[in-house]
Amino acid sequence: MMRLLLRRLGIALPTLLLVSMLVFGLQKLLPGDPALALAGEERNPEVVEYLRAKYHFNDPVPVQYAVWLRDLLRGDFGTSIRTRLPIGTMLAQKLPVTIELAVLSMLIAVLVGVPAGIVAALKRGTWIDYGTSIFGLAGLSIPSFWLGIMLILGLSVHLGWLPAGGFVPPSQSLWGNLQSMLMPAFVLGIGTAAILMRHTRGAMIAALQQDYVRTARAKGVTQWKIVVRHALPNALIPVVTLGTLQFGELLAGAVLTEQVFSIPGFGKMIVDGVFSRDYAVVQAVVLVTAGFFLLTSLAADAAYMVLNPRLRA
Amino acid sequence: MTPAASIVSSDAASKPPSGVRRLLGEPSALIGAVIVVLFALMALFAPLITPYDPIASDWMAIRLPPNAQHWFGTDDLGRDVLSRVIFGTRASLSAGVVSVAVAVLVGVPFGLLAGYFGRFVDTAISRIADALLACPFLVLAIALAAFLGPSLQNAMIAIGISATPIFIRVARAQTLVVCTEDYIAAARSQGIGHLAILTGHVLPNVLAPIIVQATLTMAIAVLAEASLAFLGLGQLPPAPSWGSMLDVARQFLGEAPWMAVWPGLAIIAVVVGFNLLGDGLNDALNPRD
Repeated sequence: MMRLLLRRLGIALPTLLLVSMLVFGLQKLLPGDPALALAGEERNPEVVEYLRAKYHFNDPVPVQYAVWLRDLLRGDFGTSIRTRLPIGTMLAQKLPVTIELAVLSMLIAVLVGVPAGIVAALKRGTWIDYGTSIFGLAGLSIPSFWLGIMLILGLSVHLGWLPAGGFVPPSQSLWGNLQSMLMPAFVLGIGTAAILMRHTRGAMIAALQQDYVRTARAKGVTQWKIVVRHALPNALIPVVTLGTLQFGELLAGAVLTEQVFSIPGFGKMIVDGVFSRDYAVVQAVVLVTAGFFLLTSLAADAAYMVLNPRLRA
Repeated sequence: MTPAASIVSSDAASKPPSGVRRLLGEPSALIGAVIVVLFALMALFAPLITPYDPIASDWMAIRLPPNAQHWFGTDDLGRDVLSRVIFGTRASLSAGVVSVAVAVLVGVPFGLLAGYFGRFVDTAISRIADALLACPFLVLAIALAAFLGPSLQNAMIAIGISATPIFIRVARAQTLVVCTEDYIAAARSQGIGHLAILTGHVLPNVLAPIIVQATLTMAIAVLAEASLAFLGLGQLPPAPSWGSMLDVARQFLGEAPWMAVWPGLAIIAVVVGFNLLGDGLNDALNPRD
């Protein structure tokens, strides 16, 4: 198992290196002098000169990339033009907010998606199954930002039950934090719930058709025990892998949700970076998101190997 | 019926139904196709069917709720929401079609090359696809649109590049399967060139899953265009686009909720249409799946 994981890591590291080249290459899309573009709208000559020297813009492109990568490996993501703060510090402040949002969203997705998928598989062909199929299609088709706006309209503007936006840190008030995160986590999690539901249903139907389930039935084991003891543990193996992979997607989906609910996380950081032409911030967010995505892929592989007895040896 | 005719008809009956017939037999696919065609017609004939100019402001009709003159109400500048939703179809559908075309035209040739030549070519192309896939779709599209500059055209390019690795993967996987077939070995043994084999023998046999993937990716692309426009990185105002209409509507939720409802429903309808059509095409063209 360790050897398999190390092989996966051996693929992930060069992939991350390629991602870094891609992210570095984004700079080259900027029209004109990159130092001028990176200096923001003020184009302070001192800042332009500083950027030109820092990123070695007068040197050949491979040298520029090597210098940029060296700084990254030292944890130096550059300085934000807008906030004048080191981007590493900003990432450390924003990332926990987005991770909390993603964890809560995943919790909602699992609590809704997995039971719905199990029920749909057990009631295959009934109206409950069709209902969950419609939920699945809706979850994939409703834009999260529109769902967010509609929930704000109903639950905040009309009923006044939940705050329309903003973020309360858990250190300030745990209850306030949960209140501010409930709607965003639901909006972000419901799409993932639909994906988990579809896959749980499929895996459960396949598991229920296996010989060991038929044997258990022949031995007179109750339906409840067959589902919980025999079918579910096997059906959940691919679902756990998928759920782990989806966690990386949730970090990306947070961009829109954080924008709708004004949550000062990672997603809002990239959008603010885009509009203040803080390109180094945009690059940092893409790079860290890709790093997280590769980490969750590795975690998904590890989870699959741990759960699948055939790969455990 | 003559014996010959009965032989022909029994022969026809025993033949597996064609992809088109199977597609027509899928009610959900039919619904999807009808939705997509309706919106395509709306986009084409927008100037003929809109009751008002979608850009013209009417200062006497600001934020009017839905009524007999303005079925979907009016927005913060007194513009007719129905006319803007109809014209917004153009930005959404053109973004879907153009970005998926970019992704197919770039991704499929690379996927074919990776699957056909294998070894170093496959490793190089697959690693690049992996790197692109490691950057989540929307984040990559936002970053590309940010560096290229906000416009509908750049949003299409950004979405197209972000969707490219999906097609590299699909084309590569299918090519690997097709290349094990005897007719490819036969073509090679006849001394037919690589390019002729790829275009004449491999491509036609990998097209079905690519068409399915393209239809499903249209749904993702329409959502992505709306998302970019919502963030201010797509179609620039005053030209109507569903995403930017929702961005403006957010500021007037209490006073004019209708401004937010209709563009959202339009996005959902188109995305549902492409998803249903894609699923139906999958059942019709890949019956073994």
